[in-house]
Amino acid sequence: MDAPAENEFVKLLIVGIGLLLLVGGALVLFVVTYQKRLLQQQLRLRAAEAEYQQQLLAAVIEAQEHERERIGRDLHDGIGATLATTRLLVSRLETNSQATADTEESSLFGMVNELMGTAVHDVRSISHSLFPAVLARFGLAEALQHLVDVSNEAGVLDIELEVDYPQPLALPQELALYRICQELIHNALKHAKGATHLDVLLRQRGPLLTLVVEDDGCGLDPTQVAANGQLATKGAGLRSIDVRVQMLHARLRQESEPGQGLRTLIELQSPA
Amino acid sequence: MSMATLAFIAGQLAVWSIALAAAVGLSRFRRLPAGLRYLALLACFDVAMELTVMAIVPVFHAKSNLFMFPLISIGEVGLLALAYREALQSATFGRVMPWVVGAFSVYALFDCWVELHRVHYPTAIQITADLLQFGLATLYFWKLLRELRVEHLRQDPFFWVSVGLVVFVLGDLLIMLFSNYLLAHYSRGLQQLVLVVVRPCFLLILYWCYCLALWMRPQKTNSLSS
Repeated sequence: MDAPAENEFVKLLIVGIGLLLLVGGALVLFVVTYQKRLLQQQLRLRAAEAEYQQQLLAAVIEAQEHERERIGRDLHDGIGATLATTRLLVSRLETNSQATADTEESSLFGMVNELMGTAVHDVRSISHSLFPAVLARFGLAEALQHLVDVSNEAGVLDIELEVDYPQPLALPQELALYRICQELIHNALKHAKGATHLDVLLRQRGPLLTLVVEDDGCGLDPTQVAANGQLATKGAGLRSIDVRVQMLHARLRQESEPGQGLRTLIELQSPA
Repeated sequence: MSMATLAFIAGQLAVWSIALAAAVGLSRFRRLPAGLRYLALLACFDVAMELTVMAIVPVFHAKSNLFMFPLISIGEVGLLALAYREALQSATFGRVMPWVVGAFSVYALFDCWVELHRVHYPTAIQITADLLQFGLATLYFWKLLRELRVEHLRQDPFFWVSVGLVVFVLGDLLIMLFSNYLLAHYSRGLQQLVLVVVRPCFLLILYWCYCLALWMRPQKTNSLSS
């Protein structure tokens, strides 16, 4: 068979190369567009998963809070009331025994009365810790003030509260912030060795709400601090803080130098 | 513009783009990840081979330099396979790759030895090499779609290497397929146009893609693997 004419061969070759290049271009275009679409699908899936996790988290915390509230009310209205009534009766018996001038009996009644008083106080304290009724009634600022007052009663640390909180958040968010603050104060009382002072600051500037808890204790052990400035291994308390921070879509930052205390800062955007 | 001038310009552009890719690769060699280091070595290998090919006829008075094609193909396929082994991170590819490259090398060397005294394009070897390179590029595209680790394709060096390979291979395939037919039946002008002007244009695209890949800072892969 004769070879085709030169012009014809050139045309065939150019068309052939052009077609192959078109196939190559189509392949690259397919990869680019399909990869982008898959990536977007994947991102949407991740977002949906995150949303679901968030809802699950909120539901778990809500259930936990409801349970705490129930136990707190039961303690306050049930055992607390019974103990208070018993204490009144014991007081009456103590008065009667004083009237009969039985000093040994009177002294015993005095001790029982004192123990009953302590028990009533403890039940109230536990009940309040389980569900802060002040928060539901008067809001976060009052609840924090109450928390600080109660913690100051322990006398371990001098706790100061500064509040600038003109636009209150919804109750679930306030409750989460209250729990975080409660845990941070508890941690400072327990772990901040050598601390004499604890500052609690709640400040709202426009949509930004900041909660700062700062002590002047021993600070975090540098060997236990991870690259992000937070503790590498966390106990149940810190994990519960993390969960609530996540639920609030907030940002948690901890700054600490050995011997210079610990500063915990939580920032969140409050809804307009 | 005469065909000789056009051929000279195209040839020079191709040679300088290979040299540029090698220079970029060498200057950034220490900062390059393992896969791109092989690519830089490939560019250096191509520069060395280009110089050898240019010197072989005038210096060593050889009849032709076409017998170098299989040797160049072995080096190119081998280094590209090593580069893609790093990029693909696949155990199966790692197991199969030495056998495929080994078989190709044996075949190419055998063909080179048998055809040593004939002046012709080693079409079969070049087409096999093209198909192997195309296979590497499509494997990488498949990995991109399967794993979704690369968020921005434009910032992924191996995406550009693969694009360059696809364009070069598909452009080169028909030219190589008809190269001996062209040498046997058509005028020197057409031979020059196809083999010395058009083909270097595809080489130019390939080496610009290599340059881009070697120049860019590889992005961090995301964790969106499926």
